[in-house]
Amino acid sequence: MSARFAGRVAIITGAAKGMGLATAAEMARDGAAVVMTDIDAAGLEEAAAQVRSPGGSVLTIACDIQERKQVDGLIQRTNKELGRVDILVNNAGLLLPGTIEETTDDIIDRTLNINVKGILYAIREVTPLMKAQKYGRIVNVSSITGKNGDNSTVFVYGASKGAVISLTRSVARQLGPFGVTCNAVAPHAVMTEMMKYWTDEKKQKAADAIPVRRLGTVEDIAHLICFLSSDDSAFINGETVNINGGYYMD
Amino acid sequence: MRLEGKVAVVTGGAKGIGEAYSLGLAEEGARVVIADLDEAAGKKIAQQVEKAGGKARFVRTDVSRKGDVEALIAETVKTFGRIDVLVNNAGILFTAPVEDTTEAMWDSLLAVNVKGLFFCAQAAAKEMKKQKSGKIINISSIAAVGGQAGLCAYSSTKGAVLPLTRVFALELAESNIQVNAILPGTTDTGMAKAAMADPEWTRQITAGIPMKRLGRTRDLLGAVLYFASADSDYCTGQTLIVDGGYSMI
Repeated sequence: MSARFAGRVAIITGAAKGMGLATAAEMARDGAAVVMTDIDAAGLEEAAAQVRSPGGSVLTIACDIQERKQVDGLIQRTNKELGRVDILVNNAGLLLPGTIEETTDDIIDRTLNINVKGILYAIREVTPLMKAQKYGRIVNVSSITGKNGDNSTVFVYGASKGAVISLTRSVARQLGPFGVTCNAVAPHAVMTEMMKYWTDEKKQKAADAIPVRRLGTVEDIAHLICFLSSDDSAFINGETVNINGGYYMD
Repeated sequence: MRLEGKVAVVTGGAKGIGEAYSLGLAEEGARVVIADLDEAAGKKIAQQVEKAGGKARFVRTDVSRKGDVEALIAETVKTFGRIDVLVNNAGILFTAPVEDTTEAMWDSLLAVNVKGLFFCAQAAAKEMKKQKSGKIINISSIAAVGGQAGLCAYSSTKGAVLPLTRVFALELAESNIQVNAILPGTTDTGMAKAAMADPEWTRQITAGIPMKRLGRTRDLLGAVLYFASADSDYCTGQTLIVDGGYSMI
């Protein structure tokens, strides 16, 4: 526990569960006023209660990030009610299992709309605010699949996470001069609901293949996201940092 | 106080960026062993830490001498009982075009930047394995991933740190020892600090850096603190570039 985010306003997308919830909880614990957003309004309220209970400051705003107007509304309402937007964590994402042949048009559209377009909309909308503040931290959730591909998720997922790596760099270049950093995190296997389709056997096999012999926890990822959102990372920009127990090194 | 109860060793910890690491780790609660060639500077930093209420020791160390390295780790364990964090920061630099790069330069660079770094990590790992915990942080450079005229031998030695980091990470993963590398960009210390007096030099250097400034020691300290703390327990074998977005490789 520290006060590293005292005075900061942070928006976390996909905050109703998993890595988003863990990140919101850690930021709130460390002093941020957090805006938790998710498409699942009921789940969002339950999650917010968990973050508020130890004393965290939370504003909830339900939002479908595929809808540009809703994303704009999310950013504008945060700025209006809390006065600024210091940190944007683009965590909301869709992952579906499937082979190339099973990847339908609908899966392609939804995956790209949520995992890429939603991030583009959010960054575009916060950009003038962060430029005026001369301060910002944007952290995007990519994935090992964005660098390395994989053979169990629909192949549009890796494509979407690869797009995140590239857009992270463009944003880093264009907003760096304004004191805004943009970085990404690239997890491998993390124990979240998104991975609920994994059997116990598959999870064990995955853990055995990881040098530290365990899957990641949502807290492991939240710690890295928080580091990249803090003043300790003021000179880290355009990086996609792997967090995977040593599974992949580049 | 992220490092309460922890013991950290910083090689090259008496001056420049190393000094910032020594002081910064102590501020977070670590007991610090400062390893350096410069006895006067090292003792001064140790005194500074103790004056501020912390605990520190200076051990005169030439990392290119295996005997010195082993004595450093032995002294650390004797004084403080353990070693939790090693910041492998000691390093030297020569600038020369390839046709003027001498054998003597190669021998010195390899001895300090590669062998010295390796033997420090090896000795620390031995103790960390007994504890079943530890953090090794290797300071490389963006020279390892980018090309810069005049830095052939130096860059090669900094590049060697990358596979070294990965193999250490793989071999020590099951012992709960995380090993990572930090690749700093141009920082406003030492030679760069003097050159910054020239606005044209500064403009040229920062032209390629999106953040439009040089790195500060606290930027690098921030990265070291992440890798030194329990927050990074799931991160190992990784190379973290801290350069304002200059390299993006």
